[in-house]
Amino acid sequence: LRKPPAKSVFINCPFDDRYLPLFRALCLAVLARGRIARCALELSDAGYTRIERLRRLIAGCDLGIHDISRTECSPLPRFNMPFELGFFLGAKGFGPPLQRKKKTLIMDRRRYRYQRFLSDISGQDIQAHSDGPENVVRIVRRWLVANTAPPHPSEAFVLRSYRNYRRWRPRILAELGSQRPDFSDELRVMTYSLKETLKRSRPRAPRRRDRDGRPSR
Amino acid sequence: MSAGQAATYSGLIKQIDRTIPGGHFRSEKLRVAVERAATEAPKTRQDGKRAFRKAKFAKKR
Repeated sequence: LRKPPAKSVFINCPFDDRYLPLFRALCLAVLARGRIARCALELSDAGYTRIERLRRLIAGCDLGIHDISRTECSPLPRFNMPFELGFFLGAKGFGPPLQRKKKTLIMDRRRYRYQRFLSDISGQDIQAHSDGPENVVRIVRRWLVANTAPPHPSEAFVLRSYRNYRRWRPRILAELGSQRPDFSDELRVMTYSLKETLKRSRPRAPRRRDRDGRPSR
Repeated sequence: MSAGQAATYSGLIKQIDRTIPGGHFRSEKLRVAVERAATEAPKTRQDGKRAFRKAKFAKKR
């Protein structure tokens, strides 16, 4: 068994095209904090059952971000997200001491909407993203600041990185000749966008001043 | 972000890049593609505003 990366965040959200902008925003906010986003998309080992692979994935992540906003029927509702949330909370509640340190962020479209379909999680602080990718970036960044050790990039930097990534992505993929990269490649494109944004926003050297303290030309 | 923080943060991002499992893109190719995209991508409204303010300031001086 390959040892999972120590600093990883389990992402439990829909993977359809409509949710894709929010999913990308979520992954970038996680990477911007120096953590690796992991999700069911990377489960491809046919040697284990899906639930076993999921169990291993959850066991390897100390943080979990869950989005339970997808409740529409098409034609039936998807129960994977609430199920994986329950799985994660179960590991936190009944697991060995290391698993009990898990931290969870739960997001929905509107703040109290979950009470109509998942009232068992009442009392937990559910965050509302209103289907806005930049709201997701803000919520995830704020939560990671509260639950991880520094250094913490500023909100302005993470948002700028996200906007740059969104702007640069089509050109990057066109140059690399890949229209639909897999999950790992998408994460690497995000990481390189973060690097480039950081390179472009490096603080300038302080301006030289003359004897009177005025900036020299 | 101060210079020291930026250096620490840059190290952290490099570490993350090394830890991401799998992937098909070659690092050098990806780096060049991102750099080129960053240079050639259409400017945003914010970039336009910044350029305008810069020009105005230079004119005043």
